[in-house]
Amino acid sequence: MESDRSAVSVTRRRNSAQSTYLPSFEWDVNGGCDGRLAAFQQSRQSLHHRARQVMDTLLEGVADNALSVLQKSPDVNEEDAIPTCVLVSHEPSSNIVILRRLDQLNQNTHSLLTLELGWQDFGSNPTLQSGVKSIVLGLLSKYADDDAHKRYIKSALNSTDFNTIHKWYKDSYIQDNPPKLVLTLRDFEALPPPMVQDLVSLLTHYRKYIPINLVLCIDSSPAAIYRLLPRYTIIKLAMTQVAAPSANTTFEAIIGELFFSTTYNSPITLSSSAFDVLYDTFNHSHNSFEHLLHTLDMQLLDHFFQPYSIFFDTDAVSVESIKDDRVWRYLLSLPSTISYLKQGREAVDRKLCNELLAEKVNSEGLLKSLRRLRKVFKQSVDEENDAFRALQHLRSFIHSVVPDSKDFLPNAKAQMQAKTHGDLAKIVDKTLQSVSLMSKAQLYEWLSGYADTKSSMKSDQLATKQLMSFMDKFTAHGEIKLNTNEQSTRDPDFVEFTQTCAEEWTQHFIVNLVEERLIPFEEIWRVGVSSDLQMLVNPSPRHAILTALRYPQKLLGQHYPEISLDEAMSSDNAPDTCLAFKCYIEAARVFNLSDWFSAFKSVLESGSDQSKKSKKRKKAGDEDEETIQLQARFTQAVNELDSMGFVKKASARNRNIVARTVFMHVEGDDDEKGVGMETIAE
Amino acid sequence: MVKERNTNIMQLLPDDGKIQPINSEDDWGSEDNEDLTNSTDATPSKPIITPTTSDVYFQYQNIPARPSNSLFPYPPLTAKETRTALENAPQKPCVPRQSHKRRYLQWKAELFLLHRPLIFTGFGSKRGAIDDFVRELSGEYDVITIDAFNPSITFRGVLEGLLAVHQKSSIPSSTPTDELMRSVQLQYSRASTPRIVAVLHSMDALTLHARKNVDVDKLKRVLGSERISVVASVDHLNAPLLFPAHDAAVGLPWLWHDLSTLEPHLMEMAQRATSLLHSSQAASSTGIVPTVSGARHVIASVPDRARRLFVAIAQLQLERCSEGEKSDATAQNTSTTLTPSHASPRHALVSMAKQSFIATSEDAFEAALAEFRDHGLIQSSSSPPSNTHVDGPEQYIWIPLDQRSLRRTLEDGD
Repeated sequence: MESDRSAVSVTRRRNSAQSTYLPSFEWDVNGGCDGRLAAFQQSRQSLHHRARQVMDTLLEGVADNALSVLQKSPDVNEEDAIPTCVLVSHEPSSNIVILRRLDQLNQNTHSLLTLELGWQDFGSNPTLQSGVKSIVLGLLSKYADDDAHKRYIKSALNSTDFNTIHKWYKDSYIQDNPPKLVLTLRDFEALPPPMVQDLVSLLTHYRKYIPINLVLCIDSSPAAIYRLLPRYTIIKLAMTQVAAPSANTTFEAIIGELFFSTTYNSPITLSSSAFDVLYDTFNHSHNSFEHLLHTLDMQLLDHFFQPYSIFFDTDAVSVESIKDDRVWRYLLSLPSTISYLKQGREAVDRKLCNELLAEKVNSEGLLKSLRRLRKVFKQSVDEENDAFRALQHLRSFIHSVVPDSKDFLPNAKAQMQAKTHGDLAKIVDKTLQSVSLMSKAQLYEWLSGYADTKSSMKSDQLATKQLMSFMDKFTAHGEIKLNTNEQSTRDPDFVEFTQTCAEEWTQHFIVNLVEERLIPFEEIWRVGVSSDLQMLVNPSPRHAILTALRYPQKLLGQHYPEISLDEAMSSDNAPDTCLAFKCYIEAARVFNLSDWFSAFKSVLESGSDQSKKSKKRKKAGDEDEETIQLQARFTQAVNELDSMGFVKKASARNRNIVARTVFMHVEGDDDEKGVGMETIAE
Repeated sequence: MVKERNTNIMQLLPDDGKIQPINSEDDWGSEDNEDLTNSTDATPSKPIITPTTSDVYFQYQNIPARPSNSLFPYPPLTAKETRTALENAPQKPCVPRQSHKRRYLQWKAELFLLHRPLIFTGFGSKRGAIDDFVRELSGEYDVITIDAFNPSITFRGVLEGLLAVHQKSSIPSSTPTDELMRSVQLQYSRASTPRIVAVLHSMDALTLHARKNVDVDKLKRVLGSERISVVASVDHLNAPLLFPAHDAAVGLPWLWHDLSTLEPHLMEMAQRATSLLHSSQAASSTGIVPTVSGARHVIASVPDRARRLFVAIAQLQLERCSEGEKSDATAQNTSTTLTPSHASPRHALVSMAKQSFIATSEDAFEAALAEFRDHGLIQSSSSPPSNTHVDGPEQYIWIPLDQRSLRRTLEDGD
């Protein structure tokens, strides 16, 4: 308790040793940590890169809209109010992407003078003065020549005066069509509203001379403007809203592109529980793109903490680098391998199956089989994704034909979930029922949707084949043949054809989507989720604190054999704070510290009753010592509870009276037939 | 408690004020679900009507907010006393430090591979456990440790510490804090700057106790710099409100870990060991709070007679206290008048002083007590103690120290 030591201290590093961040098991592979690290970094970079690309394409249109809004904004003579483009994104990172794109677009046209202002530009204690200074210096350094820059700063006008900009603008742009000046407030919600009001007033004044435009970036909802700014400021802004796609669209696009796409070769696939974690955190706690990436990171990290992940990059592993047979035994104990061997159906690799059963471990052949398996796994994932894409395409086609049908509402999120859980059977069934009811034109339209893509994917091939046979049978000279009574009765040939079609597709979907596929060792390439991850991604600190206070035995029992996990601890063993808390939860809303102290005292005394009985005769001095110690322990416990936020002052007059801040219904679980902590004497 | 089933439906309702703990749907005050509690066969016969969580809530609300008026029986301890007492207190078991070791690799990976700041929560002092972890890192990185619970912490101090890690020359005190903040941010956003680890113990204490010294938002902006890896701990139950997810915008996408250690917060609480328990009886009319050490100083500095008089009064008071305790232990604190029951009538004290040749006159008696009165060690009142029968007007004199302090004052004063 050296209370007088300084609050900030620095420890220098001792050496430049590089420590490891990922585990390496003594029995797996030489340099296991490095192998894992490389694979992890590679996968992570690939996923991040792709996700950002998707985000860029998703928001491209928004940036185009914003640019056209700015370019078409009214001139100084036409409009007094400042033309303002309100960029609404539903999460923080979208606006940054949009602004970057906007900047790129503007570089091609040069029709706008732009300047972005973040919260930093207004100073750490945001003021209008530092804001104006940033605007002046920023614009001059960006668009004025060096000489001119210095001249304007040096001349009578100083850098904190907006007049400098006015003068510079008037001098520099004398032509008929001067460029517009666009100021972007990147962190609109983070800026103090009075300052924004002042800024708007200032800009309105200069709007008479300079065509100033504003861009306000808003992360929450457009209502933020109306909440933060008063009416007389709002009427000075001629606002046009440009909104980014909703958070759900972002999720569907990114997850769909990362894990359910046929164009992107994802380094890893999702298991159903991993998808659920992503889905839950996105829906229930953090609705942002950044957090989605963070969750993915955590899942990857979790994956590369597993022993089997050493085989993730199968090509990098050689027989010589494997240290021990235990690696193979570990692989053989993976659930997928066990169920694969048990099922005994047609094997992906008969040789491998034999090898596994014979337990001929650590051979070159086995490693080769593993490499082959990886290819098989990748191919199977590709096929699944291809079929899934076909299913989605079909469903969205049906939705466009029958928009009222509730069964075909586009909900990619739910379908992805169903796919990872293997619940697509019902959806496939419902979808294909509609195929057999299609008209000739509809079927043609649907199938020809595939014909453009000349890919080698199975779905495309199937569609092309069916389209050919459709054209053979039902078209003449490029037009669909219709029977005379086609309106009322269906062509029996066509009915037969659609049924075959539907059957073929059913077969295709069943093989690729519905039937469970078993590939041994698939855990190596599929992200599973350990139970801790959910706690990390969705933590509940409050729960952790309350549990530790109420059931210290659950924590201690793992380390001390004498403490039982299920029985309440005796007051000799339980931490003082837990004892004080025990009294606390039995108190009313407002209570007296002195009563709390007597309760605490009796809990402690009843715990040590037997041992003290022999020394009944005590000196007054000893008694004092004892009470001092009790008081010190109680003070410590109460201070701790206070610092955790369990009590607050309740009376101005009597400082001993405090109020509870945490209530819970706990009487029931502590009254465990006499094994609970000692009851408190009245 | 619920009475036995009867024809009268009213009897099925829980008795007033009592909450029937039937179903352990808990924590209606918090959003947590307590999965550790198992609502098993504890109640063999369930009544028909059981209180819902909302019933429990309203019942809690109906408990009258009338705490007892009793005063805390002892004066606050000094920091030194607390320290010695706690050092001698029995050691309670806590989660062994070794058991956190297996999580180091995970934490390191999160810090340096994912570049996420860690924030540790849970009950118990996390200082020792975090220091152990950081010691492991200090081989590779420079570490700056910030004790946020220390009231002397300043934002400037933190900035200077951060600059001092890589800068040998001292920073002139005339540099404004904003300038320092900018240079720290600049330095730690450069890719060439070696990464450092910033450890913040009890980070929530900044907002709770030292608001004037440190602006948490500014601190977050500094810590969010690229080349700083943050390891922080928080104690408060509602700390997530202070460090929300959108801190990611300033570069701090917190990763929460439960690190319940059950260790006592000895170091963290050392600063405020005596601040909570203030006995209101202690405040005297002069505004001076009498303490044992203060009394000793006064006793040492007064003339011999005055000292003897004070000791005599103190001993008398001690006797009266122990008598009072035997007859009625609770009476002394619950009385409505200000005069405590152990106060002695003035005439009795004067005659006692005369008999023992301490003060021969009333003036001498008053003169001897004057110094003590100035220091708030003697108080008097004309209203009699509640349990005393009075005949005429009389002044009552007492020493505003409790029995224990008085005894300790006398022990050393003699």
